[in-house]
Amino acid sequence: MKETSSILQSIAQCIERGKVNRASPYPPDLRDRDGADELVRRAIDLGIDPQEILTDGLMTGMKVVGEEFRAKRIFVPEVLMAAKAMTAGMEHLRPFFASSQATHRGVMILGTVLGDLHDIGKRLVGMMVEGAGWEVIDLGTDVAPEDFVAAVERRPESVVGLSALLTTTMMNMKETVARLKEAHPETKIIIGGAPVTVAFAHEIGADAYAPDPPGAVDFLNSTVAEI
Amino acid sequence: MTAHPDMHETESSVREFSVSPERLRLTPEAIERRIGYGDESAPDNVRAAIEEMLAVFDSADPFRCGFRILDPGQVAFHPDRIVCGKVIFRTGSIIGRGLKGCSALALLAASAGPDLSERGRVLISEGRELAGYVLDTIASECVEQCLEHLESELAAATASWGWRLSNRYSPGYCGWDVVEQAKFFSLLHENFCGITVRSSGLMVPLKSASALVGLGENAERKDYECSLCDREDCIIRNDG
Repeated sequence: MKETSSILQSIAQCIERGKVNRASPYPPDLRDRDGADELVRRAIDLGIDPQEILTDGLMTGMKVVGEEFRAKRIFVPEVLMAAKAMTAGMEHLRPFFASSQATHRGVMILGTVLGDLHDIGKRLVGMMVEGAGWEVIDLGTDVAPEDFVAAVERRPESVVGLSALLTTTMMNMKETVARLKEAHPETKIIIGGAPVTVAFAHEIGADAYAPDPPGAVDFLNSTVAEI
Repeated sequence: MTAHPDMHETESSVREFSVSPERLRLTPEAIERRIGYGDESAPDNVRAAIEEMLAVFDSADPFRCGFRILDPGQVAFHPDRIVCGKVIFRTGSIIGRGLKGCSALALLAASAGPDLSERGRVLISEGRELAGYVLDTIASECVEQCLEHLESELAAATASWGWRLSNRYSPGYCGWDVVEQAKFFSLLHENFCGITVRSSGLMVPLKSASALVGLGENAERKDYECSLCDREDCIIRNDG
């Protein structure tokens, strides 16, 4: 029991600090120590429930990362490293998702709307959402409304996230939201990006606005709580 | 650039530059600040990535930037708009106030080209997200510095006329709708600095920037502008 708790804490710490594996030299104070890669493998070998590894190890670490990022105590590079460590750990859990021994909290379909090619902000959202235990389907940039609709047809249980970085391309969110709500009225939609505001989200009929990636996670988790 | 300020359109009012990476002299500290670290040092791995990507940057293609000066006979300034012949920039009152006293206008554009963006994209696709992000940040910083370089060139070119420069204003900021980007580039020759503009106002290559600067004997550069703006949710807002 103590060993379980200790290894889960270590996994969480590796995510927080961006320690991917033993070979990675960063952070310096964790040099030559196991990273998320080895620790998740060991946790599985010890028989720890994969869902527990996800929830109490990986997700716990990523939650701290989100809080630190929101408080501006860490910046995009640390989030990228944390996400890399998260991915290394998640690789070991994939077979358990396939066999339903571990489950995602839900599915998010994510994309930058038509006419807009900006990618990094959306990627950050995807990383943090994945780190919060969600499956992320990233449709990329310059995504047409019909492609969002088609993606929801394939995974109707999804929440949709729309990103835009310009006031002009932000207007394309309106049509995307309208098309999605027409085809799938029950689908929750969250929007974000530099020019987007909560008032705009209300105006176009989106369900929520997130000012930052942790805000998207908060909304997604609230939809699970509703269910 | 020796023509008198009362000149009308001449070849000398349009200038384009090719700026080599070494001329920009980007420093690791400048990139750290742009990422957000402020006075704090970035973690070692971030510093290492910045050093590595600055070496990549040093081997990049030269950056393109340039300006066009519209002389007093070509521009009329109003409190909320600028009229340049048939083109009217509806800049809004914040920029209108900033350009008070100006008699001429310079249109500035700069681009890092597609090279750095493509290299960044490849790095990310190879799983080197941090390096890709840092390279993207370096490209943003270099475009910003190209605009500063253009301002220096403008100041040098017009100092003998007794002109001064206002602050710099870009479509999409300070209440000026980004959709006017297309109007902006309609006043420059086609493919100016290798930049094309989508109908949304999006510049391609993505790492490009445009801005206007007011000129004239009474042009005034203000230290700080955000307090003039009522947009509380602006991503570049800094209330000091």
